[in-house]
Amino acid sequence: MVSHVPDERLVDVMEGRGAADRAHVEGCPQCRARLAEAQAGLELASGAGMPEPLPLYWESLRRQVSRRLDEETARRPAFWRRVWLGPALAAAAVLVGIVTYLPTATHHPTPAPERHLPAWSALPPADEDEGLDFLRAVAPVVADAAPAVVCSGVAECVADLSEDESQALTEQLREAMDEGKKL
Amino acid sequence: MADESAAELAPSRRHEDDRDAVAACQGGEREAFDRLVEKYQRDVYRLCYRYVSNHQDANDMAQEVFLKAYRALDRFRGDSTFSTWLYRIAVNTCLNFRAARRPESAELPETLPDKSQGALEQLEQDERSRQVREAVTRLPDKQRATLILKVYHDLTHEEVAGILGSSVGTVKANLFHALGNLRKMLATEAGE
Repeated sequence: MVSHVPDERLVDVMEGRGAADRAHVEGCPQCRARLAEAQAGLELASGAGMPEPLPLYWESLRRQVSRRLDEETARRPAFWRRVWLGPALAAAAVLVGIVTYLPTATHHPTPAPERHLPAWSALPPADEDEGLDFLRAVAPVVADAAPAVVCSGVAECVADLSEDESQALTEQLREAMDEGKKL
Repeated sequence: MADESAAELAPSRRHEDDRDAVAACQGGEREAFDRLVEKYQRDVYRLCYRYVSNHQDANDMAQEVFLKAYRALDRFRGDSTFSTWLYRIAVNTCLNFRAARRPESAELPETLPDKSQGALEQLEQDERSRQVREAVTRLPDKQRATLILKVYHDLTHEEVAGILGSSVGTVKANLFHALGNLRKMLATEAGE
């Protein structure tokens, strides 16, 4: 069985290369016919000129391209603005969120306990306070618990009381006053 | 590229100039791209014309090729020469282009300008050329691209392979089939 020269190697023969294949082609009518067909096609293609535009056309083409590039360049900032606006807004929103959220996230301020000044906080000093003796009389337990040595007066003593102590004192005072009214 | 303005320069110098122009473009110098357009517009237009065989479509396509190149220039890394890269864009544009117009008609002018033997021969030659060009537009895509780049732009098989993204063997085979098919089409039309 005769193996013919492949198409791509016939191109080499057509271009003056491939001596071995050329020898085959010369002795092979089929390969010779294939080569002749391709050579005829090449001759036809090579001989087919194309109408050349007028010389002025090249200037016109260059200007048309340049104008379209100008338009494109002019549109580009708008394009980039459009492209970047979304992410930029999103980034700004995230930033604002971070700035406003972070303090609340890391530091949860609990409302300062409402400090009600006791009504007797404006009482006079101990040596002028007539009520102190009265307090001692009606509430000896509380009075004994109170640091009498360091308290210079009722106001100072009660100011150092805890909430519970203040509450207890208030209750005892109320009871004592009720008893006094009854008496 | 086979353009006479580009061909005047030695290939290495030409590619060096192209690299400089591309670098300038990538740096934001629009005028540098104008220089590349000036340099390659003839090659691009002629390639497009061979594809569609009419001036208006070729003109539209040539502009499109340069716009695409301009948009993609930031991604050009110089792995190939600028001209190969531009040819690749041109061929892809041609392959994707759907001709809006038919190949230019063979209608002869009603009054011939000159009835001398030379003028008639010229008309016959023009008509043969038109028939060949029209036949080329009917070749399968890859065969058409190969034939145009090889025959009309005088590129090497290796350059054509680089542009079309195929092997040198495939380029040669496509060229061989293109030439054979062209010959058969024209023989059929001539009633041979």
